[in-house]
Amino acid sequence: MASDRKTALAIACFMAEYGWPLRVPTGKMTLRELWSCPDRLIAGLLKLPAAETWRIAAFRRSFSAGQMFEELRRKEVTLITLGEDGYPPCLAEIHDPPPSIFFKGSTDRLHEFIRQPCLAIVGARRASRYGIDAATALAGGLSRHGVCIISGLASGIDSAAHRGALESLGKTIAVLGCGPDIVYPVTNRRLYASLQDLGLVISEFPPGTRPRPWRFPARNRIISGLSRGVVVVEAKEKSGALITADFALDQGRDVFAVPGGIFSELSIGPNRLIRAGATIVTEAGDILEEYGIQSESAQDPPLRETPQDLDENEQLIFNATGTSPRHQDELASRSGLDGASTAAALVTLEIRGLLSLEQGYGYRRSN
Amino acid sequence: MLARLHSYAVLGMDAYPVEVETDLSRGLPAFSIVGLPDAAVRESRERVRAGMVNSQYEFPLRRITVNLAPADVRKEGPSFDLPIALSLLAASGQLKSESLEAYGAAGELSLDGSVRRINGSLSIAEAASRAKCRGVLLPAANAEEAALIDNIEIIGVESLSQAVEFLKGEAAIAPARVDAPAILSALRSDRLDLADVKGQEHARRALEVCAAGGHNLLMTGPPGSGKTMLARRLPSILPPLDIAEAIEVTRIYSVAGRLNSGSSLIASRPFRSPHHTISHIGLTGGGGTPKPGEVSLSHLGVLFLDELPEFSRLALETLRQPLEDGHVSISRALLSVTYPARFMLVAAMNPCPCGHLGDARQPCICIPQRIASYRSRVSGPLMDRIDVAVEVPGLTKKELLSDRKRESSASVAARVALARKKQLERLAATNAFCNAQMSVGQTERFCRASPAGVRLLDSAIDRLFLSARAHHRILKVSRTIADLEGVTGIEPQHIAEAISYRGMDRRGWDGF
Repeated sequence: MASDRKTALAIACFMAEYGWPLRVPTGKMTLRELWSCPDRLIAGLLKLPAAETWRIAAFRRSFSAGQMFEELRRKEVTLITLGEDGYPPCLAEIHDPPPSIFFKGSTDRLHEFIRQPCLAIVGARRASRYGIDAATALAGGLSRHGVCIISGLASGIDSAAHRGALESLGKTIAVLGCGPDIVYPVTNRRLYASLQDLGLVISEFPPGTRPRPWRFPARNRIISGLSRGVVVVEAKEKSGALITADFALDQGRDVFAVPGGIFSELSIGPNRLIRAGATIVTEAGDILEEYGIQSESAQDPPLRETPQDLDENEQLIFNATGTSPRHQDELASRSGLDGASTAAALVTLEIRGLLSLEQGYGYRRSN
Repeated sequence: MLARLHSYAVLGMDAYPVEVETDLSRGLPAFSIVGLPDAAVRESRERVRAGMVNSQYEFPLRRITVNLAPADVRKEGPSFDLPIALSLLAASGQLKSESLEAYGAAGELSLDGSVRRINGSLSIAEAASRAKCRGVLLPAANAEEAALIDNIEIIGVESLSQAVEFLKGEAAIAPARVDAPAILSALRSDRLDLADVKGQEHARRALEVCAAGGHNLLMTGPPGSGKTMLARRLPSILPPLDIAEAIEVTRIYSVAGRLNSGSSLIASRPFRSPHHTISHIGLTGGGGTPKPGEVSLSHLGVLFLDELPEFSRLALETLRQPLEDGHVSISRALLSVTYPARFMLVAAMNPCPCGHLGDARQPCICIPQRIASYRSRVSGPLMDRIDVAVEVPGLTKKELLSDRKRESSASVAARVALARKKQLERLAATNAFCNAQMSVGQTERFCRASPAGVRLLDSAIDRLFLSARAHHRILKVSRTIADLEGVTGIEPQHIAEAISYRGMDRRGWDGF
């Protein structure tokens, strides 16, 4: 078996070096048979131009699996190869499954996560406030009901989805287009760190692989492959999120879309998907219902009951707040308190988790 | 024949004595000035010649050598005209040498012999007083400003002939006197009043807290919400300048040549609002012989930076030293000077590049990344020095049209003055004189919160993801809030209010 792993690792490393697309004909032969083919045959089997033969030959001669395994150990990266027991079954069934996946975190956690219903939330990197809020809210709502949120750790919608899941203490998996040890984009390093602690970071590329444009579409097939459905939140006309949605359709997954305003170019993607038959999503319940997951929050009253142990000022302020954010001055005039007492009561309520502050807008009740 | 006269040259905030020596000797008529004179000093030959002739004195047709001692320091500016002319008159026997001993002189000559105003006369008077000089002859236009210095006679002269007559004892000129307290109270008029500001209760309160504790303030809000209006009214609620402070401010303006003719004393706290295209030199001061910049011109007053993220990064970085130390050191190849710069920083910015984030009347069109990059232009080190941040929302029509009477500056100023007094008493043994200036050690000593307050602060740091550096800032501000209320202990409500001014430490400040 060890040599199967070696082969898979070798192929992954070659792919990382050569790039995508690289179709591995899994049906006809095992990876090991493929990799042990003579030099003159292998290029043809991998559907590479004959001119590349020398490249494969050179790579096979110089590749040292021992060194690579050592690096995996050092970077605490786990390897699971296609055909091994731990390989996610949903990923194995897609058209061109990655021969190996690398991830940071324990195998147990991977199994625990993919046993749950998994849903991908993807969308534009340069998203609007609306998209960020929608992704965060959906991810939060879904993960509170045990759904594992899968996304790509890109900025914008992807980050918001991961964040939403982490904040409601849910499960979330980030699928990267580079080695699992590389943070891309670097602005997400804090998110990456919390994903390492509480979620999972996986990739089909060996550690050390730099992000390259062609790797991201390849990554998208894994995002959809791991999921039962893909939610597209915001996407311009040409967007990676739409590639993910295409993969999802090819792989027989469901496609959901969050509708957007008709004048925003970020809504073109999801609105077009809806016209083509994607399911409209306006709240987490829409998806939960689709999969027959009991939605508890639907029975919850929309606003919490006023908590009992508040003092007089806090009570006044709490009564003045609502689900949409209101500025401190407005709350002061609604409650009739002076500025100083308003500020004090607001912060106390915020610390207790009853209110939350939205930058630029003001305080609203937490949900 | 040799004659000597004391004069003074201004360097930075201080003046140092310069001896003007004039020697007449036989030889071809010539007039040379030695002792590292700059162009303005060398040109003084022409002004002195014309001034003397036009005042009906004889210009000696001999070999004239003027030395400005010490000879190794660069001299600049036209203020040596009057001492050169006087020593020349003494050297040529038109004035007795002995009469020059008691008085120093400084002033620029006009071609008709009248004496024009100079910069830094307050520093000159101060240096002369330190040198135990009996008196100084200064341009009449500067006499009142220089008379702020005690125990020295300031003789204001209109012209060269008047100076000569005075020195000969032919005409008496009464030393200039100035009644600083009277001027101070007469000039102290703030036309701007907080009562003009509509709505913005939260921001008004923040302004009051900042005034009471000397805290730096950041206001974030859409265009037209009244940020500038609020900032301009901050000096009206600060405690008025006392005489020593007024003299200190006047001295900076005197050195910078910014005193208006006719005003001898700056009586109200400076309010400077440089445009955001200002260079870092413009802010800190500079030039061949460094002149005070905006940070020094706002000493003991308010430096208002509108559109904070639009200032160049370099300009914002240079603010760090003055904000930390209360002075700014400018070093050039030949010299280095230090100007005081203890100001309150008030900054204003839009919440996002389009300016309408959180605006009820107009939606924001910015994507979070752009908001993040906009806000990150004002980064770490500067934000670390801002204690209070408030959001100033756009006003609703109802608020705009309301004619409810607002609290006036005078009544807010009264509370601020009381709070400042409490701080002065508490900090008497230290070098700080308001809460914002307390060091880390002093904060720990003077800002002990009650047990309930400590619990609140702890849970705030956990729940609201406040940074460790926010901790001290919150303690300082809550100390000020307690002072405003007139109580000794720091209670939970004070801590809570202080936390409400730390929006920039919360999640979401950077746009996400």
